[in-house]
Amino acid sequence: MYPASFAYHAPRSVEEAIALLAEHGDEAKLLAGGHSLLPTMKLRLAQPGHLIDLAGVAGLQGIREEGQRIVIGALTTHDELASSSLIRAKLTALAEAAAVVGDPQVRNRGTLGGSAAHADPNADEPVALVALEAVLVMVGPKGRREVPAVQFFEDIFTTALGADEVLTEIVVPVTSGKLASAYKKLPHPASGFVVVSCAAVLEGDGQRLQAARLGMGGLGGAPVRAAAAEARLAGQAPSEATLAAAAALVSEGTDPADDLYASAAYKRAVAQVYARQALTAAAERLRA
Amino acid sequence: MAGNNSIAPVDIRFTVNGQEHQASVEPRLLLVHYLRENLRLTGTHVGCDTSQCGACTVLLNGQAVKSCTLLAVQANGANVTTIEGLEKDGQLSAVQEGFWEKHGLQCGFCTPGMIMAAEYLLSRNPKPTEVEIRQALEGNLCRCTGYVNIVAAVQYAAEKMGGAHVSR
Amino acid sequence: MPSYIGQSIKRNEDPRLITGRGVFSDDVDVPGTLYAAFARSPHGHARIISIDTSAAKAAPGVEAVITGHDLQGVPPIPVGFAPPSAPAVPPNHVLPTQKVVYVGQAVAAVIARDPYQAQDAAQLIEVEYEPLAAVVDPLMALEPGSPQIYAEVPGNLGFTMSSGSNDVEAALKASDEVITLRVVNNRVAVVPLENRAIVAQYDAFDRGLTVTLGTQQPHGDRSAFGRIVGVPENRVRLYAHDVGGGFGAKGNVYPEEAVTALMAYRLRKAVRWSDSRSENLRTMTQGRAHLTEITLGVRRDGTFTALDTKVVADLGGVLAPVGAASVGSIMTMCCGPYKFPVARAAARAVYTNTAPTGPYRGAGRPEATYALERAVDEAARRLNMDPVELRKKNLIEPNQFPYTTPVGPVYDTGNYQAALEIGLKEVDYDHFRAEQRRLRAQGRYVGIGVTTFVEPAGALFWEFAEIRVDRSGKVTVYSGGGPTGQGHETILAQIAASELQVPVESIEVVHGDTGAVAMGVGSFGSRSTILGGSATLHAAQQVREKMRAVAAGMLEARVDDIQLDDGRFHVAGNPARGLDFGAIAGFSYFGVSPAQEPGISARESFQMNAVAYPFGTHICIAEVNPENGEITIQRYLGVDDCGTMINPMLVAGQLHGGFAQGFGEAMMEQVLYDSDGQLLTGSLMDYAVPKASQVPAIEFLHTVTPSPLDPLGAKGVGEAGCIASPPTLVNAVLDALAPLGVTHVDMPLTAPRVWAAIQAAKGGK
Repeated sequence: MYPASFAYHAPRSVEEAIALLAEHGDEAKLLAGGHSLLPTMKLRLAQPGHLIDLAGVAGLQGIREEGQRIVIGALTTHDELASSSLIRAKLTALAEAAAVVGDPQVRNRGTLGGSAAHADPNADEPVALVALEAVLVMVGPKGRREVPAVQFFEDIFTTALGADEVLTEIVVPVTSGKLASAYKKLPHPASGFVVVSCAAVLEGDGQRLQAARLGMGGLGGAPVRAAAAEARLAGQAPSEATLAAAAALVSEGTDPADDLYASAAYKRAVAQVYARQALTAAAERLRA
Repeated sequence: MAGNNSIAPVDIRFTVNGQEHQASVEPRLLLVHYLRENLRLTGTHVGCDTSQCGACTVLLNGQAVKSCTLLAVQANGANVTTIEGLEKDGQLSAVQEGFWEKHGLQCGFCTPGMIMAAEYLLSRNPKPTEVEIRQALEGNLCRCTGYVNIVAAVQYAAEKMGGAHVSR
Repeated sequence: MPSYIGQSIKRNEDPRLITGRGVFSDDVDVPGTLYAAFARSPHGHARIISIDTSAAKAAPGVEAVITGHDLQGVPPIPVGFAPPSAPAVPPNHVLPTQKVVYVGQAVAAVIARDPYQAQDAAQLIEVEYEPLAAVVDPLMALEPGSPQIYAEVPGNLGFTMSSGSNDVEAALKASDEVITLRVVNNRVAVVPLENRAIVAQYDAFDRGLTVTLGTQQPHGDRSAFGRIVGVPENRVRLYAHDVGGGFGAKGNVYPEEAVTALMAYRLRKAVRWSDSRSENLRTMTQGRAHLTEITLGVRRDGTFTALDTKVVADLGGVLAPVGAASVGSIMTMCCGPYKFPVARAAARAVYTNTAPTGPYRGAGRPEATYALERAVDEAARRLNMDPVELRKKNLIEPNQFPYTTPVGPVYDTGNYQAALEIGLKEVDYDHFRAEQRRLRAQGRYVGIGVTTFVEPAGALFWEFAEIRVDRSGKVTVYSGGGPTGQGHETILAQIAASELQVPVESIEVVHGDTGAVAMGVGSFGSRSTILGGSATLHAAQQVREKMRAVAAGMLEARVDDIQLDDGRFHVAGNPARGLDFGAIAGFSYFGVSPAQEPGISARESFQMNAVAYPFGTHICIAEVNPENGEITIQRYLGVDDCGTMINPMLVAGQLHGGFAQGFGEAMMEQVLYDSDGQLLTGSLMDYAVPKASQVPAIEFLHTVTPSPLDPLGAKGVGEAGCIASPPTLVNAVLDALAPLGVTHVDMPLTAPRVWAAIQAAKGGK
């Protein structure tokens, strides 16, 4: 319940934050909303010597639309995402994922960037980011770089973010065509984290799907795209039967782990259920 | 509290229940410990260490947060409301009144956090459905009531606040 | 003035609790307080080789570091009840020096000026262990060749208990059908929202010890602290102000509490300790953890012929002070509300390398009821009989009370049929069965579970109440109870106010202060209204008579002519010739003759020479989604009879909360250890306590069959909700899954487990 001591830093700019990271190396941790980090510090599972609080860093906040893309500051809270009319309208799956993170108090403090950088294998938003083909933007001593979500989330608690870098924003492309998405999840009864989840993104109209992208959560160390299911849907009419047939393919090639709550077999089986629900909801929105 | 002399303290300044406070604190000091031990506002409770139980819920700039998962330094500049700050001129808030009227508490340990979460809900959604109430209390555990009368208490408050006089 | 009995009045304790002014133990601030923190065993079973405290002692802010070696001569934690069959009761040392027997067991303590510093220093204590093979499964612990936790307890068999008669065997042989079922009452964590908390303070004035503690039994704990710390009991004062839930687990003195008190006394300071939730999940006593093999004999027509219940109970690493309580309950309650010509029960209680177990809300009754009700439904399936019909056939008849069961208890009163019929009518049972057939034809899986149950209340010891009327005429009730949220300050005030005809809000109820309350037992086993309420009633009656006598003298009238109305004693037929409480009480302190006792007060204790038996029927309708194993509770109804209800609103509150705990046990809660004794459910991230969104809406109805055993006619209600709900929920789910061939799932019925059972049944077809 009592974290170990650390020195506190409150940089005002990304550059300052990067300089602090460079100075303190492995001893340093970045603090965003703190809702993953502080509990582990209270349990003394993490004992960083330096905490670099990003809250006062300029330019990490806010959601804005820039032409064909939506730019989300890394410090945007789950609640801000879930209640943003822009995100709800154009990136519905992300809004729905943000709306089921933890609980209201956690959503008021926890951030999209923090969640992405922490890369808990059972987090919600990364699943939506993968399906929405989001790009994560990070800045380090060598400058700015962009990494697509599907490459960013490498494995359990492992990302492409360098130890010397700061995740600054998440950029999501929005096509000019019609696009609808949805997120469905089976939560763990205690933690509320993902047991399995699916973010479905459909492009096209009520008659024909131009493309489909499915992000699956809980089936591996990081969110995965369900390629076989996506292929099954491309060019098809979004009928109930087609959606169900595609949903039946989402566990293909996945190798989830048994855990205390659910077996791998269960996860593979029910992933199909939540995929079907997400596809059905997205298809309904496409028709609307 | 939390005194480690080798660590530079941080100066903070914030408002708690309308009163301004300034302090120099060790960075690791949690907001909940600052409120409970430094300010002796012991109505805010600690029931877990992983941000599940919500007994420590306070309002930070009007938003419900878990004060056990916030460093005191992170509240710098903020406006904090604790359970002690709800009563105005000796009048209970509608939510407090609802908990009393509807037997929304037994041991009372989760109650301050539960009330703060309910206050936050009603500030955002004045007419919640039962399902919305239950979802809004997702971050607050109660072991005594089975939540039946907590839901009734929030419904009572919503109804009361929807009446002629809305104080908040 | 109308009686307050039966009125759903608002609680006297709430104003402070809804404004943040409650006083829980960790809220008590004593200037100069020190803080305790503990170094704990990372092993389930290990020998302690050495403990190096030098770095901790040198750490900033540290005042003392102690280990078991510093506690020579300190007695172990006292055990309240050890069955005679125990070969030995291994001592539960305050801090062990030889070996640790469960993960999280405290081995050393730091006392520091700040809790953060205490934690820093505790981390610096270096303990060298020699890990030993652990055993966590109680059945494995009984196997020859398993690791032996205590040399003096061969085979890890802590004790045995039995009841009933061996005639069961012949009766089973003669039965048409014999149903044998193995069920698990899963190990659950108690999780009161308030963890343990204590402030112990050396009291220079009294040369003694003042302890503020979250406890259910203030007086018993005062004795325990006196013995452990070595302070004469008359110099120990114990306060339990507001206590944030207990559910049985705050009826023990814990090692950490003992260390805190010891160090306060030794250092002549105040020392505070409260555990974090993760420490609490490792070391607070846990509940249930019974494996039951139940065998039920039945005739083809559905008449029960015999019952045999065999239990293996998991004690954990040490025998907790009342660790044997729930095993004892099984011995007496195995027959439930049914007529069994013969019955027998036997238990083996086993040490394992896990947290100690103890009574958890219901303490043995839920375990017994679960096994029995599961077996009754299974018998109905085997006989192809409706499970409700089978129950009706075997319930004890209303005219058979008092009813002696073959394992000993005498049930006082009841009308089990009435509660059942009300419930069946309310859910329209016959209509549901027709609807179920229709829905099954559509591929939907809905089921109903009906439980009939009976439980003992107020079984053990006495409770104490004293009423004093102060000089101003105000009434104070001093109660020996140890409430943890049940509402004693309201219930006891209602009883006293009704008897004394004064406003209920004018009455003060004092509890949890061993200096103010002369004696007491505490709150557990659904006893406080029956015993504490009856003691309060008797004390109030005495006070009324004493006041009448004083009033008669003052009014120069005969005592028999004095009447009490609306808080005034007056001469019958002449209300103007009367006196209020203030006048009489004031006079009693000043105007008495040497022959009269000054002041007005009365003290009473109340004990029953038998036990009251609340009962009822619970019904659940549930639907299962076979695709993912998810369960939806469509309806949950309880019909409960707890005798006279003092405050129906509070009765409902008890049932709601009890239900939610039973729901948690049945649907989601389970403590898990790996084979080395590592706790796998060590935080609320993994251990699921039901949330508002997970608990269904529930309804309760009542029948009222007053008990003849106590003057209130009350029967107790604290535990009914968690006794009836697990079998009701599980039987509903199994009924829903019957078409799929699923006949058994062990609790908790998580979606993955239900799904797995469905897959297994499909595979078996």
